[in-house]
Amino acid sequence: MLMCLAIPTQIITVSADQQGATVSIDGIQKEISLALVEEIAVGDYVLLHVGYALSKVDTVEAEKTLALFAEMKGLETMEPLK
Amino acid sequence: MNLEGRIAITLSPTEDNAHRVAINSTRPVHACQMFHGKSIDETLKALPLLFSICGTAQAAAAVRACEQALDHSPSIKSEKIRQQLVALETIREHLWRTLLGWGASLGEPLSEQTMARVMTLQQQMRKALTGDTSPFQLQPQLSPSDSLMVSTLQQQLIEIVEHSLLGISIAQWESITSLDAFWGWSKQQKTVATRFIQQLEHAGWNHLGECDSSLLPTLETELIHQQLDQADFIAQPLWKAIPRETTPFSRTQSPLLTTLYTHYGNGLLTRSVARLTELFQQLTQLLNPASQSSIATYQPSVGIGLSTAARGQLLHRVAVENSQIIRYQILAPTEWNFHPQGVVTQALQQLEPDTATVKQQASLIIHAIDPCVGYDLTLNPTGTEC
Repeated sequence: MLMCLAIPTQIITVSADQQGATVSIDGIQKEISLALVEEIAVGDYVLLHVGYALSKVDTVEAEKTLALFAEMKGLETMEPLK
Repeated sequence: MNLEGRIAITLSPTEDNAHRVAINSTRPVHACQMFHGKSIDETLKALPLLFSICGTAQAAAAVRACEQALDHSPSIKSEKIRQQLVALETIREHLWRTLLGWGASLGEPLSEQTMARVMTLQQQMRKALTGDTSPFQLQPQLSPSDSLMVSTLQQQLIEIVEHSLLGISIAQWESITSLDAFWGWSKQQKTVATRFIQQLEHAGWNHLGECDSSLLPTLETELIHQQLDQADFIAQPLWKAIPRETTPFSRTQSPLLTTLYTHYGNGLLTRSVARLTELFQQLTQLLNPASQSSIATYQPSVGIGLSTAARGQLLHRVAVENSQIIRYQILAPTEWNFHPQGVVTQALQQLEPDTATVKQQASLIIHAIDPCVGYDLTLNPTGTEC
């Protein structure tokens, strides 16, 4: 489960009682709780923390953030500062 | 690769009734190299977007590092607002751990409505402190805070804490300094906090995870810069060749904590009460938070910024040339605490094998030290290498 990085995750389905939702993380569907946020709909982006949606992220900001994460991938080498 | 990486923890029993602990991390600790070549403004805007739980503490460390590199001094007001927002984030995280984490450990229905209320209050408080402006930019132009609203919201948070965790007022809690008074409180009051503490007591887990960890001291300027120049320091930091701990326990002091430490060492009980104590201290000091310690300037155009996230000390270092970032480093508390020989390893080594609850015990210890980190815990009952 995503813990630390603010990777926006898109809502795929919302349960009838609005308390749960399905998201897709790395191609795997997961159930999350919507107990801590209000007015979440299918297609919205949310930030997750240990199985809960923490907050809703607007689409423009979510896309900007996802672009940053895409840039982050593969940056695992480092040389000492001269 | 999973973008966040994972920490894999494997416990293997040893012949002397303890555990060998192996910690392997794939956390992308150098991913902030993505900021190399970007402008400072661009970086300060982008960086808080990357972190969900400690985004405010990250933003504070980032702007402080950039200010030092550019030889800018923030206004007293900017720094105060930053500290208030970081404290607010820490309060939310401690409430998350206690209301939801301890509730889950007890198998109780979770206090989700209360936590939802906390998060709403946090957002309202943030708005009352800064309006639509951000203190995490260079030379920020801040809206005046709505002091009356901030005080009102603080009082509402205090009421939640006193009702949901303490059962008494914070002032009454602060007067508890003896073991008798502490155990009396935990038996008389019926809150998720007292039930969690009673659970530790009944299970005989007050000492669980007690170890000789070494606390992270004040970082000396020249040495920390030299260390940060070493390629492997960020991933597995040692200070003066010793793994160090940076947690609520390592930075919180009170007469009650002194009493508990004397009797129970740095085991689960003392760590849990340290989290509670810091929550109450930060909440009551929210209008006038303590200032953040800093590291002196070492060389031109290079800056270090510190902030105290809920899980421990964050350090950012930036090097700037022609208004562009040529080097960005983040040293997170997780790398100190989950060092292969660090406090988590030392605490887990003490667990007795062959008990039905060893996995539960290990999870409680890990969450008491750092509840944010994503980890996979594996028990290796044969003791063979994984």
